[in-house]
Order: sequence, then structure tokens, then C-alpha cells
Amino acid sequence: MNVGYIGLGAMGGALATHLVRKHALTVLDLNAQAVARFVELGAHPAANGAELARRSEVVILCLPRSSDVKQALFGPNGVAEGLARGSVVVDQTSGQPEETRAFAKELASRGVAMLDAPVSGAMATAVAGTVSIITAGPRATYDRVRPLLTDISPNVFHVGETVGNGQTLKAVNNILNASCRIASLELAAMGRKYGLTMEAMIAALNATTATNFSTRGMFPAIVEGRQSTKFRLALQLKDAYQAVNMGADKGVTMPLCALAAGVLQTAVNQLGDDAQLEQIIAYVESLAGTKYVANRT
Amino acid sequence: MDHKQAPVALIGDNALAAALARQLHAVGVDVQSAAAARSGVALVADAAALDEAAATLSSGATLVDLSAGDPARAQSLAQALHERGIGFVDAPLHCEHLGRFPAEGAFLCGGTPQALAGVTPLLERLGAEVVVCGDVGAGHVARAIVSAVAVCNRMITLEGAGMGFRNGLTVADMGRVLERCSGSNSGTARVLPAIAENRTTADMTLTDAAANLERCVQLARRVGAPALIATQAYGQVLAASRTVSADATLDDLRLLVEGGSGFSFSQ
Repeated sequence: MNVGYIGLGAMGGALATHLVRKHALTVLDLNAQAVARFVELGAHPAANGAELARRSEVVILCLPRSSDVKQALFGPNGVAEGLARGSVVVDQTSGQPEETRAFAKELASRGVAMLDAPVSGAMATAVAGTVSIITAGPRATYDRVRPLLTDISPNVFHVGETVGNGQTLKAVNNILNASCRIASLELAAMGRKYGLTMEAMIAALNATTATNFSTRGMFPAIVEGRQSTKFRLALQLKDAYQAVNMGADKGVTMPLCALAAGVLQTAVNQLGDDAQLEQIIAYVESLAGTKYVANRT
Repeated sequence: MDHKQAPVALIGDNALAAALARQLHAVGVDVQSAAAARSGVALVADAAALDEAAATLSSGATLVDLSAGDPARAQSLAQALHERGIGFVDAPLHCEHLGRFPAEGAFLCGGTPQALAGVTPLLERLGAEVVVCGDVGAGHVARAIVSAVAVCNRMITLEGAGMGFRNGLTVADMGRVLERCSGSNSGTARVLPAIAENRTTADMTLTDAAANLERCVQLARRVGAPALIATQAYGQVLAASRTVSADATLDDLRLLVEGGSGFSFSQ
């Protein structure tokens, strides 16, 4: 299949790597080094989105924000200028569902179908090809591109024919991940102040209904002195606010999630915009005046 | 002490004691009276009965506190019992659905290595998970943490699912997908599928859940740990315990999101 991939950052690059060996891949990114790496792997570099689209049956985007997707699709020399009728656009950005639906409507008027297909999982799962891909959009379009998506990972889910549902579910996932992490880190810090070891707390948490992604992943990593996340703290905050705002727009009360977002905001304020999510560990330690592991730096 | 030889008493008259009695009988443990087991193992399921149970024990016995208690009280009681040659283990059970014990539930234990060695085989024989958490009192601290994180998992999941539902997702899809993603937790694994299938996940009352959270929040304040999320959860669960029906359970926490947001997951 002739595929175009726009956005070769940490996540996009990992996802696109699974396609370059299996498909005729055309790539585009502002980072020339990222493009060069893919050229070495056999991809064709495009000068702009329109050129990439002319070479592609399916165009996939993985960009930081929906505003970036809009620019890439509809800006000067954008993807929309080069798409043939019958093409498909797949947006893997953790974007705004309402904006994505607007993009889909515009593309549909040009005879182009669209799916949203954001991913969830640690970077290691994207590299390993086991990341979860949460898609939504017309069933026929999904059936057509599913083989392409399963080349990235076999864990592909379809959550409805309304474009944007995938990004909505991703937003739900993000706020659950962030909020459970903060709640768990706070209480583990309390446990440390009572002298419980992280090992004992991990065993207790994961033997009960207190188990969550952080108690199973981040907590053992803390004990082992490993990094378990690779993500900017400010981006997790953005994701948290997106979810809470989506709730507010529909009148849904989300007090615990909003509070967790507030804690993330204080962390970004203290640590700076370039802080990494991993630094939330030391931040909660400082709030509680303790260390999860003695001599942890 | 070899639990296979030591007489075992079960003290308490509450739902926990009833569940333990059923399982002790099921695994063939012959439960004695407190007097008959005064040199054996006294399993105390009700915190109110601790002092009376302690008074009946003689040197060589072990008192096992299975209630949800205070680590400071446990340490004080353990010291007093130690001076009389009696062992102590705090082993509160965390179980959101006693009707499904021991398939669901875990004993979270604290005590000296010697006391734990004499008690954990008996607890393991009951069939639930047994987790050794540290010294005397560690079981109570661990249970407070576990109770609070478990409720936070549930409430966070309900909030997120409420947002998703109102934005067009189905509960079934959310349960199916989130369990395979980084947002997975006991709420996505149990609560969302139960809502989708109209099942229950808990028989723990909101009153008991609020008491658990209050205990956790107080423990946090005692050591200066800012448990912000758990404190917020406590306030909400306490309010719910007073406004929903008297027999409301953890499953009814969905009403916090539904009622406060004007929708029903069942619509």
C-alpha cells in the first residue's frame, strides 16, 4: 500500500517504523534528521503535505495537537490539496474530537474518508508493536485500513462509526491514567512515612482492587531504579485539562480528575514546561517530605 | 506456634465474622470458644472486641486483629500483650464483596516474624491472598492505603466514563478498551463491565467505605502526608453515605456522577 506518514516524533516515529519495511512509505516532518532516518530505511521524503498526499492512498498523521493537524491538512501546500477522491486520512493525534469531526466533514466533501486512531501505551509498546490503537469512523473505512493498522500493532479497537470517538476514549484513558497515578503516589508516600516499604505496598495494592497501571508499572520501576515513562509533564497536563473540559462541556462533574489536573499544574509551575512526567515522582515525594526508596535521587 | 495444633477462636458478631466463620468451616478448621482457645489463636473480627479478647488470652497465645484499625492502637496493644507472653498480628481483610470471600479479598498483615509465621499459614488456608506488609501496625496502614486507592480507582473511572458516555461512547466499549490501555485499573476491569451488564461488584456499604477513607485521611494527617485525592474522595463518599439509601454500597457511587451530571449510564 502507498502510505504517507506525517509526524515522526517520539511516538509517530515509533509507529511509522513498523510501516516503512512493509509499505511504500512517504514521510514528512519539520525535523530533517527524523526524515533522514526514515529515508535510510527506504522511505521517500516529501517536500510538503500535498506532495505526500499525491503519493499516498492512506495518509496518517501523528502530531502534538489538532491545530497542527488542521495546518497539515488544510494549510498552504497541505494534504488536502494532494488527496485523490477515495483516499483515507487517519489521525493518530491525541486531538480534540470536535475539531477532528470538522476535519472529517471537510474531507468528506472532497470524497476523502477519515478515521481517528490515537494510541495508548508506553513508548516501549509502540516500539515493540503492541501499543493499543483506538479507532473510530465509518466501518467500511475501518475495514479497509485495518490491515495497515495491524502492521503497527495487533491491538486495534473500533469504538464506533463517529469520527472522534477514538480521541474521546483516549481522553478518558489519559485522565484515568493521570488521576490514578497521582492518587496512588500520594498514598504510597503516606505509607512510606509509616515505614512501609514500596515492595510491601506494591504487593498489597496489586493483590486487591487498589491495582492500577501505575501500581503495576511505575511503582516497581521506582523500586528497581528504572524510568517508566517518557513524556513531557506539560503534555500530560494538556491531556488532563482536555478530558476535564470535555466533561465540563457536557455538564459532567469530575472533581477527583480536576483535582489531579490541579496537582499536575502545580508540578508544571514548579518544575517548568520542559519537565518530564517521570519528575512527578520526586515532586510528590517533596510534597510529602519523604522518599519512596531510601537514597533515591 | 503451629496453627494446625493450636485451637482457634473467632470473636465478633458482624458480617466479617460471619464470612470468616463460613470459610473456616469450609476448610475444616474447628472453631473453639474464646475460653477454649485462650492459649491458641484468637481471630478478632470486631475492633470493639479487641480488649475483651486480649483479656482472655494466656501466655503462648496469639491475637489476630482482622478489623480495620489504627496502627498506633495495634502497637500499644501488641506491646501490652508481649509483656504477657502473647503474640499479636494485625491482619485486616480488604474485601469489597464479603459474599465472594475468599475468591475476592486479601489479608494485609503486620507483626513480628515469629508471630506472622504462626498465623499466616492459617490465613492462607482460608484461601484469600495474604500479604505481609511489615511490623505491627503495617497491616492497618496498608489496608487504609488499599481501601483509599481502591475507592479512588472506582470514582476516577466513573468520572472518566461519565465524560466518555456523555460524549458518545458506550460503557461496554470503554470497559473493553481501557482495560488494555494505560488507564486500566480495578474500575475498568470490574466496575465498567458490571455497569454494562447490570451486575454488582461490592456489598461494602458506603458507610463503611466512608469510615475507611476517614481512617486513611486521619492517618495521612498524622504524618503530614497531603493525600489530596483521597481527602476529596472521602468528602464525596461521606456525603453519598448520608444522602443515598441506608443500604447503599460502593456500586451506588455511580450515582455521584450520574446524579451530579444529570444522566444515567443505563439510558
